[in-house]
Amino acid sequence: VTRGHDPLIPVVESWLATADAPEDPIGVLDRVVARLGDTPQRRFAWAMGRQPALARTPAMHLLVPVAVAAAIVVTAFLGLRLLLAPSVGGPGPGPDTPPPAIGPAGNGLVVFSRDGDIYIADPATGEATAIVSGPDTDSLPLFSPDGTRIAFLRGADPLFTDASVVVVRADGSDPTVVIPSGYDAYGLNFTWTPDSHAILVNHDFRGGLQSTPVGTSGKLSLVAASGAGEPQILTPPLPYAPGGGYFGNVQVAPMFRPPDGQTVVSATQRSLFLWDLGSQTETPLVPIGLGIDDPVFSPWDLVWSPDGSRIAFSAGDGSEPKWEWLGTFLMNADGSDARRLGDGGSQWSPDGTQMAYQDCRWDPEGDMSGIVIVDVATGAERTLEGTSVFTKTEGTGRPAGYGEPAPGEAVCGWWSTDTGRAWDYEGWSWTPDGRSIVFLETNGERPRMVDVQTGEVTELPWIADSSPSWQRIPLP
Amino acid sequence: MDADLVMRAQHGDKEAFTRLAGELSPPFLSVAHRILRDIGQAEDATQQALLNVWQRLPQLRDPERFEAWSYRLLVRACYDEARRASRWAAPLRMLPTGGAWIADASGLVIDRDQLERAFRRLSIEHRTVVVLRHYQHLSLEEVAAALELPIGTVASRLHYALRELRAALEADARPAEAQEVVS
Repeated sequence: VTRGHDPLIPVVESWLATADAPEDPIGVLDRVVARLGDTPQRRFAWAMGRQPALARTPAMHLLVPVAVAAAIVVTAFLGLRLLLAPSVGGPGPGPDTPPPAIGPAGNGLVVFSRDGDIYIADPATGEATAIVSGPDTDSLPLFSPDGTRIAFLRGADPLFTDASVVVVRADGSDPTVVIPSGYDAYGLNFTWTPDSHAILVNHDFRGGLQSTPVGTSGKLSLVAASGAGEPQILTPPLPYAPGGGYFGNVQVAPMFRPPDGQTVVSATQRSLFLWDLGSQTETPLVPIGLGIDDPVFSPWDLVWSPDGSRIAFSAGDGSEPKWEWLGTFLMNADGSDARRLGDGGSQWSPDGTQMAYQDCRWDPEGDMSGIVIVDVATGAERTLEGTSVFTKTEGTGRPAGYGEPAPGEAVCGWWSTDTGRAWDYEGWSWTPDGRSIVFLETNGERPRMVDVQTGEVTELPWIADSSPSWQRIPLP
Repeated sequence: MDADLVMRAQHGDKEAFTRLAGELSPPFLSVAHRILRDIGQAEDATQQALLNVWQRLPQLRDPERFEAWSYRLLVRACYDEARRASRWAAPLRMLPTGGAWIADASGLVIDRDQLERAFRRLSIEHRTVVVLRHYQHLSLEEVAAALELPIGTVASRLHYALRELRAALEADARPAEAQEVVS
């Protein structure tokens, strides 16, 4: 690689030396200087600071577009209880006894990704250890519900255009490629089955599908976590199937009825149905009394309650020209006792008494996202102010059919048609014990957890680029 | 880079850091733009890198190594930016805008267009080593320090990057040649 020996080098150097676009370092510098006051220097390698909750700002509940709602990272089996977390003796292969199959569990170790490697940490000591490292770009680790293994996304390049899914034991040993490389991670969504025996993906990866475009159908497939055997395609293409157009592990698991995961709830654009994995049959599901046969009724975000007795789903008015949010609805597994729950709800608390959703609020200083807790019995809502983050949406375009924002309308959570990017959370989830919500802000470095009851916010001590996944362990 | 300025910024002197950032931002933006091939992403990556420099300066033990250390933060920010952009933009990816360039009969313009297309096909790691070596003119040792990689790995990446670039240029040239033969 000696300069001068390759005739291409002077050509490349000449090309690189020529500015080919306007550049504005002054504008960048001004923005950096403006943020210095809000960006404290780090004088300690390890610090667990507490941050004050952000002041409540005038809020305006707005619809969350379906595609962004799908982008909320939902993992039904994550968790954290940092302050009260029992030490489990440092990174190890997993709990000695299994955690409860459903419902609240204890909090164990934490797994997250950073700079393409997978780290595991003990909340009791703060110690973090890289358990998977190397030239590949590894990201989005997810603990199995039984706490023994971790699945994560592996990219042969940082752009994840050639991605695979790998499973390791909780100490990083025994790596097994369960979904082979060759797939663009955009639209490759995966999660664990409730029994921890297999990985669910929304890809018909045997058919060479590279990506599931936003809002289109996808098949659900199952592959053994051991890597043994052939992948099994579970379902026909499911309209509004989970994960359309998202990257990483998203809300696949909540569609599978606990505890055995043998029944999938899904929807067409106008109706709900149950899909039995054993018999491969479809049964219509009619929420009694909600007017589900209304031609503009468009269900979304289908999630089973942790005990499998109820289903929550969100819906909108799909009539032209603008899709409009109707709310979140709740019904029993057979469609009975259906009612409107409130303005949102996409993640059940582990005990099934509360739901959480991501809200979008207009604020004169900048649109904000925040997590809202809904009491399932009463429908009462309260915003966890400590989760509020200013949001940013790049570009000017909006998805077709959504129109332009009205004066005072928040635009957080909307993505642009020209850049396709929005900033709010890398991910958020309930802790296994249901006491906290943990989240990582987009472009944030340290995840934060907020106590659901007190609103107290704690910054976690680890720099991460994925929202942490907590190991479920037996209840103390 | 002025070591005194670095040390003052390390101790929280915002004025010193502003001067440092003023020196860093033009080359940072140029390097980020050449790696990412998108000015918006480059500005975001530069902004984030400079904020990271400010935040982590107290942890820099040897101010003499400031430059390589700061470029390490810039490269990480570029990688993060590329990953985030890929996450959201993949289905909206557009074809390179080559039409206006092709209309120009100048050989240089066509070369630039071909180079742009070929360069975009490289992985971001390969683009990074090419930019640091052949735009910033860092030595292999300096590139290795900036990327926290062994020198051998840097040399290997550079070798394969140029090989892929050449292959992409050749592949790009083939249809035009074929068309000329037919016509």
